[in-house]
Amino acid sequence: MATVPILGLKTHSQKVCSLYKRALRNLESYYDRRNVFRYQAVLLRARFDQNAKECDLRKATELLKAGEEELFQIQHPIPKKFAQSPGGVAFERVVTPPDWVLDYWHPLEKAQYPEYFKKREERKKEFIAMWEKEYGQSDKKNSH
Amino acid sequence: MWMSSICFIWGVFFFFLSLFMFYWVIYLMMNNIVYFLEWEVISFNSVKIEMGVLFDWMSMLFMMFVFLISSVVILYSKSYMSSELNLNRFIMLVIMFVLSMALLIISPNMISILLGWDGLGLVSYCLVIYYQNIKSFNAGMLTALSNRIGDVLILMSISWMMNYGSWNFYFYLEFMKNDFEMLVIGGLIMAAAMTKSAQIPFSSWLPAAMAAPTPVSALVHSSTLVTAGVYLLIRFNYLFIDSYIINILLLLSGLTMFMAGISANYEFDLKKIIALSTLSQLGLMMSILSMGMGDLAFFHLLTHAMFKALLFMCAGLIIHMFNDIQDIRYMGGISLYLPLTSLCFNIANMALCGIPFLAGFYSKDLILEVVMMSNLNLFVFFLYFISTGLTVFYSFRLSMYLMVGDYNLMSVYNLYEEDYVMLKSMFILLVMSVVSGGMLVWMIFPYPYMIYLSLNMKLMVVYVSLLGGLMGYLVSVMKIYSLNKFIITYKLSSFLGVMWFLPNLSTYGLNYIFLSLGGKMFKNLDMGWIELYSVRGISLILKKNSIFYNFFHMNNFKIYLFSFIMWMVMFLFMLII
Amino acid sequence: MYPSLNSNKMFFYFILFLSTLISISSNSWLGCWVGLEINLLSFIPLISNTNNMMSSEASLKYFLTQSIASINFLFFILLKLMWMKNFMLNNSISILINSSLLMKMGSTPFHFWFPNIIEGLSWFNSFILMSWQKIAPMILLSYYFYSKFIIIIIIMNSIIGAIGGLNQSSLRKIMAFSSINNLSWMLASLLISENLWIFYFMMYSFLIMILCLLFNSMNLFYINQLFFFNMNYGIKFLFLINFLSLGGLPPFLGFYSKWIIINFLIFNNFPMVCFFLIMMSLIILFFYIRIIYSSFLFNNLNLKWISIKLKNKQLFFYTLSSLISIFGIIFSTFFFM
Repeated sequence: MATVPILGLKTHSQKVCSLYKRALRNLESYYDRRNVFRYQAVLLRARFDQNAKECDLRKATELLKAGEEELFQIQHPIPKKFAQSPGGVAFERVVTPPDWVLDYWHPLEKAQYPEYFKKREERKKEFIAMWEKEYGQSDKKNSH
Repeated sequence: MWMSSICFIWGVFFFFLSLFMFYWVIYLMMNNIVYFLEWEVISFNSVKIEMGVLFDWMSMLFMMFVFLISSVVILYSKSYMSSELNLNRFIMLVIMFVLSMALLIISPNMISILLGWDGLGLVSYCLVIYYQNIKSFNAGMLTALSNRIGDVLILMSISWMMNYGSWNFYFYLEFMKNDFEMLVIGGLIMAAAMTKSAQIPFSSWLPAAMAAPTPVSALVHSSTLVTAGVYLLIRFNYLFIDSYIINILLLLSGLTMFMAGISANYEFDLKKIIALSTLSQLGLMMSILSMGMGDLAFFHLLTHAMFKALLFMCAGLIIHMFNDIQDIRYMGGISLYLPLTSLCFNIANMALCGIPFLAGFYSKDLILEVVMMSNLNLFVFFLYFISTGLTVFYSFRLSMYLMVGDYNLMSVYNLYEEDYVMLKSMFILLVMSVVSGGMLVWMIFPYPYMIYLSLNMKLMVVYVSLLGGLMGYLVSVMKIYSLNKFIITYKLSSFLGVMWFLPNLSTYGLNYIFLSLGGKMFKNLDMGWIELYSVRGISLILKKNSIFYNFFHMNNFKIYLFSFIMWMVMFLFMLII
Repeated sequence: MYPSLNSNKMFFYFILFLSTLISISSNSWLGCWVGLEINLLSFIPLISNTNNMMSSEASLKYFLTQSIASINFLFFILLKLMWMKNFMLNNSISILINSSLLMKMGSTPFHFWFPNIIEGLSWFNSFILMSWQKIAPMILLSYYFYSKFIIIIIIMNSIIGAIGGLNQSSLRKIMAFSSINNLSWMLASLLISENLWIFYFMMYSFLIMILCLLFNSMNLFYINQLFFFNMNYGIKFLFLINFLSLGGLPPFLGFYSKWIIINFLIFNNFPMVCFFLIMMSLIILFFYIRIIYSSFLFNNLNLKWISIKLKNKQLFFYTLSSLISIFGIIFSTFFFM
C-alpha cells in the first residue's frame, strides 16, 4: 500500500492521522449506506478521541501499534476504489499523452495543422516572457 | 453515416446469418437430417488428415445463438465503444472470435477443433487485454495461460488419437468405447473442457477476464467461449456414459457451482458477480452433463446464453452511465433513472433464478427435477439445491444493491437513458430471454421428460428459491443497528470471498515452484555442471591432448624410421615364435 | 591450377599415373611392388624445385620413408611366398604387410613423415600426395588385410587427425591432418566394399582439389595470411563452402559420402567405428570453421596495395566446382530418377 507511513520519517501525530484515514476508508468498504457509514465513523472517531490526550509517548506508540494491527486484521479483501484511481478497474485505461509530445512532431505532420501550431508557438513565447517577468532571466551557468 | 458504420454492417450481417441458421435448424430437425462433409487433406501410411464439417441441428442451433448474440453485441458496441479510436480493430477481433467459435462448433474432427479452440484462446486473450492497463495485462496472461493448458491437453489427445488412423472422433465414440486409449482421450478432453469452462482447479481466470470491455464479456465470457468446453463434452457424451472418470467431473463441477454461488455473494464488482454467476451456471451444465443428460446441458447452455448476455449488456450500460465505476457499493436507486435498463436487468435476473415461464425456468427446473429423479448421494444433491438457492440469493442481492436505496456515488447527479442504440440491441435479447425457453423446449425434445415426484420434492426448488430470496433481501438491507456479519466471520468470509483461494493457486502457487526450480537449474546446471563437463571440459581436454600430441612431432626423423623398423621386427619375431 | 608445364615434368607425371595403374592392376604381389617403386621414383623429381630448399629436404625424406616401406613390403611378400601356400591367411603376416602399406599411405602410427614432408611441398604436389598417392597402397591393402588391426588403425587415424590439426597454424599441415582423418573414413569404407571406397575417394579428392587449387592460386600457406588478403566476398564464400563441405556439414556434397559410409557401417555392425568417425569429424569441422569464421567474417584487414586477381578462366573453374560441392547432393538425386 502506498499510503502506509514510512516509519521514522513521520511524526507520531502524522502516523495517527494516517491510521485514522485508512480506518475510515476501510469502514467505507464495509458500510456502503451513507447513514450507516456516518454512524460507524462517529464511533471510530470516538475511539480515537478517547486516547487523544495521551501524553506518554510510550503508551501512545503502543496504542498506535495496536491500532495498525487491528486495521490489518479487519482490512477489507475487496476495498472500495474509484475506478480511475490507483487500484481501480479503469486505472490507466485511457492514457493521455503529455503536452510536450506535440513538440516532437515531424514538420510535415505539423504542417497539417498550421493554425494550431502557429498559435502554439505564440503561446510558448508568451509563456516564456511571463516566466522571465516573474522570475527573471535564467542563469546561463545553470543550464546544460 | 449511421448505416455505413462497421458495427451496423456486421451486426445486421450476423443477424441475418442467425435467421438463416434458424431456418436450417428447423429444416434439419423436421426432416431429421445430418449433413457431414469431409475433405481428405492428406493421407500418410494409414493415417488420414481430414477437414470435416458437421451440420446437424445441434451445431446449427448453437451457431444460430452465437450469431444472434454477436450481432446484438456488435450493434451494442457501436454506442459502448463510440469514443474508441480503434473501433475497427475491436470489431475485427470480435468477428475473428465468432469465426473461430463457428469453426469449433461445426467440426467433428479433433484437428479442426484444435484450430477453433486455439483461435478462441488467442482472440479471447487479445480481447481481454484490449484496455492496455496493468490489470488487463495480468488478467489476460492468466486467461491465456489457463486456456493454454486446455490447448495442450487437446494436442495430447490428438496424438493419442493417431492410433485410430483418423481424427474424426465422431465415428469412434461408440465403437471404441471399451478401448482403454479412448478412455485416456476422454480424460484429456474432459480436462481440456474444464479449463475452457473454468471448472474448479482452473476457475480463477473467468472473474479475472472481466477486465475486458463489457461487450466482450457479454459475448465471450458469458455465452460462447466458456460454453465451448460444455459443447465439446456434449459431443463426447457417448463416450462418458457409464465410465468412472465422469464422476470426477460431477464432483468438481458440483463444487464449482457451489463455490461460485457463494463467492458471488461476497463480491462487490458488478461484472465479477455476473461472471461468478456464469461460473455457477457452467457448473450446473457440466454436472448435469456428467450425469449423462447431454441434451439438458445443451438446453440450459442455450437459454443461459440468452439471459446472461442480456445481463452483461445491462451491466455494461450501467457501467457506462456510471463513468466506468463497477463497484456496486457506489450504485443504488437506478430503477428511478434507468427504468428500461432496470427492466431488462431484472427480467434477465429472474430468468437466471428460474422464475416460471421465463427462459431459465424451463431448463433449470427440468434439470433439477431430473436430478431429483436420479440416483444420487446426499452430497451432490445438496450441492445442487444449495447452489440453486444461492443463485436466487446473489441475484436478489445484486438487484437490491442496484435498484433499491440511494444513489451512493455523488451527491449531485443526473442519469438518463440517452442511449437507444444499446437499448434496442438489448431488447432483442430481452424478447429472446423471455421466449427462448419455451421455444426450445418444444423444439429440442420430441417427447417430454417424465417426472414423477412427491409434493415436497416437487416444491423443493420453490423452497430453496424462497429461502435464497429471503437471505438475499436480508444481507442487502443495512441498518444502523445491524451487525456486520463480514467482520464477525472475517476469516471464513475472506476464504469464501476470494473463490476459495483459487486465484492464488493458479498464479503465485504455480509460479513459485517452477520459477525457483528454474532458477536452481540455471545456477547449478547451466552455469555449473553442464558448463564444466560439456563445453569447458571438452575444450580443455582437446587443448591438453593437442599440446601433448604436438610433443611427438618434435623428434628427429630417424626416430620415426627406427620405430617403424622396430615395429616390423617385433611382429617378425612374433611370426617366428 | 597450372603446374609448371615443362616436358620433363609432364613425363614424370605420366609415369606417376601409369605406375599406380601398374600397381593396382597387376596380378602378382611382385608386380604390385614394382608399380609402387616406379611411383616413388617418379614422384621425387616432381617434388624437387630448385628455388626452394625445403623441397629437396622433402624429397629426401619422402625417398627414405617410401623406400623403407617398399623394402619391408618386398621382404614380407617374399616371406609369405616362401612360408605359405596361396590363399592361406596368417594374421601376423597380414599385419606386417598392412603396416608397410600404411606407412606408404601415411596412416596413423607411421604418419609422422606425412605433415613433415607436406610442409616442404607446393600446393599442387600436396594435392597429389594427399589424393593420388594413396590409391595404390589402399587398393593393395584391400586385397589382404586383418580387419581387427585395421579397425584399430581407423580409430587411431580419426583421433590423431582431429587432435593433431587442432593446434596448427600452417594450412598445409591442417590439410595433412584432415587428410589423415579422412583416411580413417576411406579405410572404413575399404572394410565394406571397394565401390564405396571409390565413391568416398572421388568426393574427397574433388573437394581437396578445389581447396588446394584455391590456396595455390592465392599463395596461402599459413592461417595468419588469411587475415589480411584482399578478396571479394564471393571468393571468401568459396572457401567457407568448401571447408564446410569437406568437414561434412549436411547440405553440402561432403556430407553425402560420409552419410553413405555411416549408413553402411551401421548396416555392417560397426557402430563403435561409426561413433568415433562422427565424433572426430565434429572436431575437424570445428577447426575448419575456426579458420574461416574468424578470419573472413570477423576481423579481416583490407590492405590497399595488395590485391589478388583471379583469371576469369580460373574463377569459372572454382565457382563451377564449388557449385557442385554445394548442390552436389541435390544434383545427384537427378541421376537416379
